[in-house]
Amino acid sequence: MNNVFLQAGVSAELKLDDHPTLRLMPMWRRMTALQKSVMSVLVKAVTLDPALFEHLKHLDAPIYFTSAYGEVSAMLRVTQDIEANSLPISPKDFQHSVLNAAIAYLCMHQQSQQPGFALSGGYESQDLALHLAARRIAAGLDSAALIIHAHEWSDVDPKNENARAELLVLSAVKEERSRFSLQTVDQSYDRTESSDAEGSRYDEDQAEGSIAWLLKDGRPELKRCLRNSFGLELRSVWQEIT
Amino acid sequence: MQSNIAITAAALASSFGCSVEELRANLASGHRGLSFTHRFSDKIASPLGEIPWETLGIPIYDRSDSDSLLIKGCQRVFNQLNDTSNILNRFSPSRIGLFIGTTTCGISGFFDVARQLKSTGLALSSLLKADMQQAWVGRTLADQFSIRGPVYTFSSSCAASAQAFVMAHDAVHIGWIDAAIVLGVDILNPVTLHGFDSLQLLDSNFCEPFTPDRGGINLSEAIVAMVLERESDSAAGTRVRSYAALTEGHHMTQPAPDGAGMKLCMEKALRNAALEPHEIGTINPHGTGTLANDEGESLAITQIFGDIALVHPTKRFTGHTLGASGALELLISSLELEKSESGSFKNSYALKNSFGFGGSNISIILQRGGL
Repeated sequence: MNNVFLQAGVSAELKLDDHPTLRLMPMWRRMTALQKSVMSVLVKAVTLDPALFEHLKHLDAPIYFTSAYGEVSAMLRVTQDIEANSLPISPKDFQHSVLNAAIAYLCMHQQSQQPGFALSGGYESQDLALHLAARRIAAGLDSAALIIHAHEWSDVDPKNENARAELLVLSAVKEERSRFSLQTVDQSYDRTESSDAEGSRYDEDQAEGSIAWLLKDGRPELKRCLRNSFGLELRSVWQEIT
Repeated sequence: MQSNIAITAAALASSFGCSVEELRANLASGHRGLSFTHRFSDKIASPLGEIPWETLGIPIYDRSDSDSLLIKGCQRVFNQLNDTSNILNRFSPSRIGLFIGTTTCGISGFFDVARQLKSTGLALSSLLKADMQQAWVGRTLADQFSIRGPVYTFSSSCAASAQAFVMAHDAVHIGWIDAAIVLGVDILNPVTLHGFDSLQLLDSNFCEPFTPDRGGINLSEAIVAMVLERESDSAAGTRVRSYAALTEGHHMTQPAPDGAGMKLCMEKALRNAALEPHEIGTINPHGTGTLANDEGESLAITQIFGDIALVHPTKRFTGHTLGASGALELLISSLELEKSESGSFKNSYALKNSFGFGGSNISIILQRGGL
């Protein structure tokens, strides 16, 4: 089994991290808040380490894009228009309502043809994407992966758009940039001793709409256990490379 | 990649058949599962492919909410699949995975929120509910059928269930799980219908993919479930020989006009399979019937295979079932491979393309079992 290393961890909040080059990006004005947050985190990560992203392209690393609710504002505009019988609906809103729209913009911007997988996983979206990417790398199916997790909490008014995204790059190869190694990922429906061990805990039943982001200040939590409302527990353990 | 993981059972509900036997019979007869008479006739004049809900025991008064209909339909198809395969009893619950491809789950919840936003004035963030997530169907089914392995919901537009299929295959291949249920599901609903109408992609007549007469898509709905598990090398189930996926990075809804992204995807799948183009016996294209898709795809196929003689587009019969189309057409391709045993075509490999909005391309090569 291959090891899995974290090569990059970056977060971006749309309003706080509005990179000056983003506004010059083609199609920026067309994008939804969710898509803008994805582009923001990508541009931030590429700026920090351009070689890494060229390397991911070269490796044909899969992109896992995940979001619990997806393109909320685009889908709401579509449903509101239909409710109001304001037809035809906007073709732009319809195109943007699909979950993989952000991957499409990302690949257009990066001139990349990496495979992209749009995943909806509910409260546990981000942990599911991490587990999938890690297991595939550990088994040798992929040599690296890019995980992007985003959430939009805009109101329908485009002036009030707000979204946040986080980006993780995993790889089978330990490099100078590797800062953490993933020790285990596992899931079960049976609360175990390790569930109650120290570490960060997230419980959907107590989340009250908050998102359990994978990164805190660009770092993964060393021990993490997330429990969804159906009783599924997803656990991950990282070790810092010193 | 050559594995001994096979499609060992399937169940479905579609306008083109509600069992594998019906599907096989309708393929043989060339029956069209599309009609101008449907439950959206007051909204859309184009033909649609409607699941015969009455055969699933879902009465007409119970069909107005697309998410509720989707869950009920999936439950019926799951029961049908378990009756055929006994999968839920043959494997430990934690060793069964569920891999879903869908694009339309959660839409009813968005309509509810749209109404509440107007009537209450509350902030959107306070109205978000779990049943607005595409993943809701997977979480619900896993809970109801006690599936305790990984549950993943792919929503990459029309490539959704083809992506779910290859990810399910890989999960069994690497020993993460012993068996996977692949579910492709999309239900007709106002968002999809008005969305494709706004893009002017609907054919007002019966669709004719890969012909000069093509004028667009006929939308349709389907629920398709398949079991993937290991089989002995001599067994006859259809195997996954290889696949390739890429993102075109060209346009949000249009493929590159020269079919370059489609060509590259098929070439990679062939390379991964260690096969030459002449070894492919049949191609089930994405073949939606739109001007842009079919032009790009036919150019790509011609460049690789010399002509489009191997192409057997089936959306002419089934309509375009969107996120479910990959699963439905993989099942059709596996039935086509059965014919190769009786000499209907020369080779034992089938190529299936799924090309979604956003340039989500995937090409899968299936192999007749027992080779």
